Amino acid sequence: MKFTTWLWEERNFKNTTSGRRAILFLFTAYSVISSYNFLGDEMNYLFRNLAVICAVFLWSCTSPDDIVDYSNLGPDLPESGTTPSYNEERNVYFGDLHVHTKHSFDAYIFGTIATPDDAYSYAKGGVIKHALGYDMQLKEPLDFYAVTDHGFLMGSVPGWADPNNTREGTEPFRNLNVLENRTIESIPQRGALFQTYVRSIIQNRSNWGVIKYLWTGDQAHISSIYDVDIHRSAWRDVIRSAQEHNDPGNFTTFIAYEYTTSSTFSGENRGMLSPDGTGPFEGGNLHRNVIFKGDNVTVEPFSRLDSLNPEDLWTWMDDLRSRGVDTLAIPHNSNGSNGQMFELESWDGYPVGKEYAEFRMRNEPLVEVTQVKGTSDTHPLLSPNDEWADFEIMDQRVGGVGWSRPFGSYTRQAYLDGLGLQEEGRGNPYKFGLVGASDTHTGAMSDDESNFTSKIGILDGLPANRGSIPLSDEQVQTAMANDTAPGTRLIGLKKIGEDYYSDSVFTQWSASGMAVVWAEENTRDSIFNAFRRKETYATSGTRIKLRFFAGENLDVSSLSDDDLIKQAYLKGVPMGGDLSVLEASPSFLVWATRDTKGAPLQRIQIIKGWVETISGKPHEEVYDVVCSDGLNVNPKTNRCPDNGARVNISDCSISSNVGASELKAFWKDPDFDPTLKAFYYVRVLENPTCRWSTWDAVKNGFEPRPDLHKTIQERAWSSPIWYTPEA
Amino acid sequence: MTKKLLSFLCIGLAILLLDIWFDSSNQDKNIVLYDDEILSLIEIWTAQVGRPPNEEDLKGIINQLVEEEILYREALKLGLDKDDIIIKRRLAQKIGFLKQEEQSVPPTELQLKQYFESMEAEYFMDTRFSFTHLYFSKEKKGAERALNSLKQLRNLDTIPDSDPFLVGKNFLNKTAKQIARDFGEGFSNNLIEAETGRWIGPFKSIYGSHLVKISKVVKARKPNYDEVKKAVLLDYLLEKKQTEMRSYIEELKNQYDVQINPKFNYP
Repeated sequence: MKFTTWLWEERNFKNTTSGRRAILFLFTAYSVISSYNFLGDEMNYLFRNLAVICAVFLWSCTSPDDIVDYSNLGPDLPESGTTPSYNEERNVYFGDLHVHTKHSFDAYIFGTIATPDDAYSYAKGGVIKHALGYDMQLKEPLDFYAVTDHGFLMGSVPGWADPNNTREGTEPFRNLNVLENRTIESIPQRGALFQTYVRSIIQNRSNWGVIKYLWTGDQAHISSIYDVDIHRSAWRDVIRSAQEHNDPGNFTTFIAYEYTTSSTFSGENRGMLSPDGTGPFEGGNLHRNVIFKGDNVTVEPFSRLDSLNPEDLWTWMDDLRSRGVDTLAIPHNSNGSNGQMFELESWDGYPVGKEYAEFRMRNEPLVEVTQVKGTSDTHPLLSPNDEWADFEIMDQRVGGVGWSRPFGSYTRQAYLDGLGLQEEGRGNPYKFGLVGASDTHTGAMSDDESNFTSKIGILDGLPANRGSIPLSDEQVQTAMANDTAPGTRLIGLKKIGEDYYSDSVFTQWSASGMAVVWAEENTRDSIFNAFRRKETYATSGTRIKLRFFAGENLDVSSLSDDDLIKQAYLKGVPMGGDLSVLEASPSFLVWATRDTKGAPLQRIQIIKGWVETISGKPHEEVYDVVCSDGLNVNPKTNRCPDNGARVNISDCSISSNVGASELKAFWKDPDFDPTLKAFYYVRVLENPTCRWSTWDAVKNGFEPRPDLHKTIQERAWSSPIWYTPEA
Repeated sequence: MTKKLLSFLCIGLAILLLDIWFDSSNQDKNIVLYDDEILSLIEIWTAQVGRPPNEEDLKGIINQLVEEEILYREALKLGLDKDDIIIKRRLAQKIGFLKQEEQSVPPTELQLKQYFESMEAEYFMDTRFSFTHLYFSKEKKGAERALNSLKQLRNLDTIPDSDPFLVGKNFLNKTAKQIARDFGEGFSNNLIEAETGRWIGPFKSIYGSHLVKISKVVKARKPNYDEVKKAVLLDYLLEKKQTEMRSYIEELKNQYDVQINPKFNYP
């Protein structure tokens, strides 16, 4: 049987015409048989199943997932444990795992021409240019960085803009980012391209286009202007750049990309068009970043064109792992998921069980809890007794229109839901650690409130455009003139007093955040292993250093001992770890030092969540554990008294001599019950400082915009430590 | 006279018609694909896809090449290349690329060394410190304890009780900037002219007071040429290309006469 041998041997036969035609034939046969009931019920049933099995089998063979070894492009790797800064008690490394460059459609369309090389040189402390021409530089270099361009349409928009491109339908993009066009005045053009054009291209995946693709092999047919060669060469550029900038011992890069999927509805209506007919692109955000551990990566990233279902991504990752390629996926902007990121059912609407929990945790050990598009720790509606819950809340759907439902969108509730599922014997799919990230679309992460460049290039690169200072009269007139075409309107107007402000979601964006790990050395292996252990924490952009341990046998009198950390590793577990079967209440060691360039610390808190047995009823409690300035926690309220730190809004100066450089304590849970499942994570709060919007106003000589928070308390969130009584 | 002019025009017209006729019939209907061209396409395809093309793929590749060539020639016939700003720009770009890709004579060791000498500041290596320290938290009377501890260290040679420091005790080969990340700005100034091998201080950091014992200081220095050879070569080639391109354009500019309306008004 020549045909079957060929089937087995030619794994990647999507690229062969006969392979595609075989798929097409079965597809057609299936459609015909399922629409005409001429074979009788039984035969019809048999044929339908056969056709489905064949089609599934064929499709499962066709992903362009061949593995290529790119180690030749990278540095010579040292033996593990041999870089000079290797430390058994682990070093702290600050980084960002979420960075877009020109290869992302929504970065290039808004003027970003920074390449992956530019992004990495910025992370190492270099100066790069913003789309509007000004310089960007970090206050302090980072230790690790990963460029994560959108997997789907990667490289496409720069390709369409290329003057040499002759593909029909791409004309409106030609020469989009030549110097003369990288101006504020180009915003309406860019807005129109993004709002109407790109979306229609993405959604124009007609069945006829798929059939044409199967027949001819040109993916471009699926959307009229998609180009697989451009796509692959952009992905290769991302890989090459990561390989060349990886510098074991000094600076770590990861080969990575973003899997950008979304869904309008949950359950059986998943993937249906939304009522306005705009399709799944308008829905809840289910984006994830996929991080490769090493040099071996696939020919193409698995993108939303392959499947909108994140579970298919995990299957792809499982398959890669079985072929020796380790990856992990980090979901982000659960806050904009409209309640879909942390659901209690699978994509197809089935209740999740143990298998799902393992499937998810194997592939997604971390979640991005804070970034430029808001913080997803918790929401005031979900945690009414947490006075700090109202922090950088972004209440809109990401990439969609409308409010995002808080329920199912925030990490603290997911932790509680996870315990509840576990209580029902269904496993815990939400036992993840935390990192922060920027999600910058300029190549340059922007975490400094006093020097914020926001996220998407020309659109929000200046204060008036991101709504922190009033618009000029001229800008108001232009905006009013453009206000007639709703589809192309990116910036509306809001009148406050006598002033008009840009009315957009940009005002809810944050100068956040940072991923922090405790790892033995600054190498890919060591840092990736820390991700897997969840020995990570997130910050809102500040460089707070934070240790967190728990254990039954931690010696609480050892707080000043020289080998405190050594003992803690020996007798306890670090952040991200597990405790089980305890007789006595465990001790928790929390230890934080301030950012040398930031504000002093105000307090350390431990957030505890637990569920009742059988009913699974969730509870949460915020405990202040140690206060600055020698103040003591009130045992009745579990709160520190006000330390009196204030901010002068007129110039953003802060109280001197209030707050701590270092806070450290052992803590015991006063309400510990050894029979209840629980999690504990740390939140460190700085003294208040000006928010970026206030800094923008102060630096440009305006009053801070009245309807925005004027100050924030920068903070760090640790990965939890879980307590599980053995059943 | 008129006759001469008329016959001249007639002959000219005949030549023109013949030319058009030949041009549209026989010429330019041959497409020759050379092996090199196909081999280089195969190479590109393999690099992008990760495996060599099979027969089907190859047919596709060649077909695309042929179709492109045909469309290109037809477009030339229609004069689509005239007055097209994109083509103009592309050609200008192309000549730039060609110029950049020109293999220049590889530099001699001597040239590289001279370049290295002239760019000395670019390759300067920062001072690096290796040290151990004792930390006394300012929340716990750090300044006083540090002073007492220094006396104890110097007189009794026993290690006094200090506080644990979150990122540890020993620091290896750190630059001033790296030290600032853990101790705050300016802390390393204390270490620059300091004695090695002996406890010194106390020095104030953002967190409290510190006693420091420096084990090694590698002074800021000009590196040996051999240490940075690779970087020097890359920088040299980059700069050389840029200067060559510049002088090439300048040279060409001299051959051209540029006219601009002297009364042009910038609106």
